[in-house]
Amino acid sequence: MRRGGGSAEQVMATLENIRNFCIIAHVDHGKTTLSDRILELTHAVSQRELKEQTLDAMDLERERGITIKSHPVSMEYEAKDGKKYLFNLLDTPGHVDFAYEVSRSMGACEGALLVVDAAQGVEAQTVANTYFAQDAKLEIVPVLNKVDLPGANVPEVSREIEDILAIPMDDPLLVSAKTGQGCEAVLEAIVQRIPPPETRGIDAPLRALVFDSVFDEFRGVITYVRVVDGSLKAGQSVVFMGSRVTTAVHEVGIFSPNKKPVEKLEAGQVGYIVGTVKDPSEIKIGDTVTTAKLGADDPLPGFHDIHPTVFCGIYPMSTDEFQKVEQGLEKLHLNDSAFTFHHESSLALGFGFRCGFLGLLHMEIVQERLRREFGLDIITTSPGVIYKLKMKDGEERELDNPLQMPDPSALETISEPILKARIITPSESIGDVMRIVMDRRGFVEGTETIDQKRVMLHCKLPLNEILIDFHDTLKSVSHGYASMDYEPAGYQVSDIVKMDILLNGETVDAFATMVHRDKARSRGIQMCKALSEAIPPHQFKIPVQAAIGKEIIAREDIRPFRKDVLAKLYGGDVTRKMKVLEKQKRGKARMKEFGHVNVPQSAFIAVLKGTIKE
Amino acid sequence: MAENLYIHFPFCRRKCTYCALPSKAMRPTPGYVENIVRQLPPGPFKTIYFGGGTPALCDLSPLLDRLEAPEWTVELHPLDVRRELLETLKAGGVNRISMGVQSFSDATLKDMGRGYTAAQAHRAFDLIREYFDNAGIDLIVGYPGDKWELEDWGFKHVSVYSLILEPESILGRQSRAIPGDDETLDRIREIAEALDRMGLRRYEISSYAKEGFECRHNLAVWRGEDYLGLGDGAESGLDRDPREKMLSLRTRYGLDTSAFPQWRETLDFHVREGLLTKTGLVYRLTSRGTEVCDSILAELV
Ligand SMILES: Nc1nc2c(ncn2[C@@H]2O[C@H](COP(=O)(O)OP(=O)(O)OP(=O)(O)O)[C@@H](O)[C@H]2O)c(=O)[nH]1
Ligand code: SF4
Ligand SMILES: [Mg+2]
Repeated sequence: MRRGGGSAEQVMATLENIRNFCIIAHVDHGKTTLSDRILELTHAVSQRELKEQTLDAMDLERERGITIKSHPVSMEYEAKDGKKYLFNLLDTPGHVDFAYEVSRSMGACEGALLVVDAAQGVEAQTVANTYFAQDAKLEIVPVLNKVDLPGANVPEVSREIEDILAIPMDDPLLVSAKTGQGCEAVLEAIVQRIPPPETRGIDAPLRALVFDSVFDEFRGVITYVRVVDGSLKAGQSVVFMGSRVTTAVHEVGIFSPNKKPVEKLEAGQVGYIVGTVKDPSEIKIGDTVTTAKLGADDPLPGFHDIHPTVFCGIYPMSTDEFQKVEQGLEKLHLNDSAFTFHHESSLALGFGFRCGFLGLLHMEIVQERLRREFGLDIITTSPGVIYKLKMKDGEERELDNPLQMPDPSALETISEPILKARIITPSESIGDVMRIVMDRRGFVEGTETIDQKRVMLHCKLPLNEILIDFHDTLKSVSHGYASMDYEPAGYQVSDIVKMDILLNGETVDAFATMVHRDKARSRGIQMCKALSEAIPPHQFKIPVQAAIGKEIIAREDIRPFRKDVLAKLYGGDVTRKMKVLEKQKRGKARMKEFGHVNVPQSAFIAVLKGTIKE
Repeated sequence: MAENLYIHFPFCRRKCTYCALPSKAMRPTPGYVENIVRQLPPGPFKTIYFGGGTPALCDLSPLLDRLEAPEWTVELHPLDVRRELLETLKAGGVNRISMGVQSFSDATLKDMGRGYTAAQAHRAFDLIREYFDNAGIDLIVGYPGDKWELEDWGFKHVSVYSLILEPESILGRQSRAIPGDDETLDRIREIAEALDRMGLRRYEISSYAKEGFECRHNLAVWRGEDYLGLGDGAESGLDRDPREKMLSLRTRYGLDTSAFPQWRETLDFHVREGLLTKTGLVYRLTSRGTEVCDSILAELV
């Protein structure tokens, strides 16, 4: 066998030489690229198969250059001590919306490689992910990446890691994932510093943690597990302890990095199970798998439930595709259990779904995956948050859909969700960053110096205010340097009102949004502008108005188009004429009609994105 | 049996730059007319229309011998017009002539590849009028660089079309700028006013006539009556889809919705928007409505 590694199933893994670890970092600090090097050095992927960001398998990931899903992969490494080790690596996403993916991956690991860009230093998600890893009691191995860059500042960034994250940097790993420099040392550090898995033993009753699952058209639900105790092989019958679902195991396998069947999975290993489960909703991430006979009594700790914070409506473009959309949502949900959906309906859009997400990027990704992976033609409404309503009659309720907003006269108070945010920014941009935080109805609770050039702001911000382009604005005022991380911080009473949009005098419920009263006018103008640009001219003038109750607060007009073609129409041409008319009509089938106004899908997107840069 | 007959003659001297009609620059194929004669049903016909292409490139005698109708139109190209032909047509029973003039500007006519000057077209029309009282012309509006004043040659009927860049036309394949919508609509309004002063009133989106000289063949087509089409490139409208009656919205007589309650909601909406008027169950275009008629019809299909 070649020195350095080989295919993972050849290793007869004993617990002592298994290393389960994840790679965590701020966005773009090089997690996926470092994974590439590790795959390469262990020959887990042949040179031919290796492309940049090999583990970013989804088209969407490759296009956007970001990781969305955690990716497990197993490989063998022959270390300097002459022993062979089995590595189970989980590459994780860096974006704040996908923090839950990171924390789930951590549940399957004993250690984490914390990658820090040596030119950028510690960023907001570096801090957040380190806290997660510390909570999960992982052994953290810091890796300074991108040392090949001229801007790399090893001493400074090492000091940041020690000061801010309290991780000792006595023996720093200096790496360029791009050139490969220093990467061998990372492999050795994994062997030396990350502990082997702890277990009740290979002969103990089976306990395997479900940390992910995907839906496969042909094989049904494929469950990703980390075996903690005991072993698992095809032919066995297993039970999911939480949901009580039982299934026969058809196949077990590992990720190398593609799915590869193996005879059995043992304590300490990471792999997958193909069973008889066909219904995505039967599997819950965080559940524990045990054998149907002589199983374990106590489940693993699992994960705490994640709660969506951002909501929007998702509707089929054509009403007869409701069921297709429902099936798509169900299947995608298996792959991404973090979003929620339930039925709702709108006068304008018919039957659809109210969906909850962990953040805006998460929302965008789910919508995009529905379109691509399921070929669905969908319309989405403006994102919103959950408000807490206190009624005059003492009743309390939650509101995740503007359409369910009760008459304001019956309301005592509305509260909105608040975030605690950490923003790391270059010192020279601090004024601008504070200004945008205040513009967004937030306030800065305190500042902390990171180094001579950077500060960390601790802020409180309404979640509602960062839904629309806060991140872009933050990047632009800081010339791309500021980073942000946030977590929920309760609710706060606020003057929130429902804003309606009227097209040609008729309210279109699908465009209704909740806004702070002080922001209503500017948001109204912005939405009217965006809509008036996205809706094509009709035969008549179309006023686009924003209103609170009966009061119109903004208006834009869509001017009518001038003329159709005035063509000759003789006998021989009637059929052709009718065809042209039908084609014109079909062109409009791709639009939604509201009171004789045809609204293209792009109008919904314009409203979501519709920001007018001051 | 259809009471309206359309016969298509897809032959031309040369292809005009703007033309996307089914016609080719070629001599008539031998036996073309005889072949049509064999397909003729017994009749009788209320209206007959010979269109093209250029019907007069064929020897029409076998058809002239066979057919008759209270309104019988033949389209002529100015270069077709000779006494002998006009005499033959008249003797055969033709009683209406539509001549394609298209422009009063010599430069534009040349650009279009029409092969005559405005003065020649005028002389041809005068000659036609010696034989036919019911005579009219076709004009195109919006041809690049076109500019002229409408002359009164004593028309009973005028059709005015705006230029459409069809991809299959010569002009459509060139990338020439054509006038914008506002300019074209202004031109059409000017022409409509001039025609009005001459006593021709607009009775359909692109048709103007003196009282009593409306083209009954076209009206029949727009009103959804059946028509038989013969000749290469002609289409028949037999057992027509009743929905095609919507085309009568193009005419000043309007669209009667007695049999189409499903259209009323949309049409009523456009009444409110000022595109239509409504009398009983009959809807008519307002002058703004004529500019966007197709997109109203598209909502009814
Ligand atoms: N110069 C240099 N560039 C690097 C190095 N490592 C990664 N990069 C580049 O940094 C960018 C981000 O790398 P990724 O590996 O996709 O980063 P990531 O952390 O996986 O990003 P997310 O998954 O989106 O959080 C890519 O353009 C890489 O080519 C390095 O050592 N040196
Ligand atoms: S416009 Fe008339 S004459 Fe010219 S090519 Fe077309 S059919 Fe023939
Ligand atoms: Mg990545």
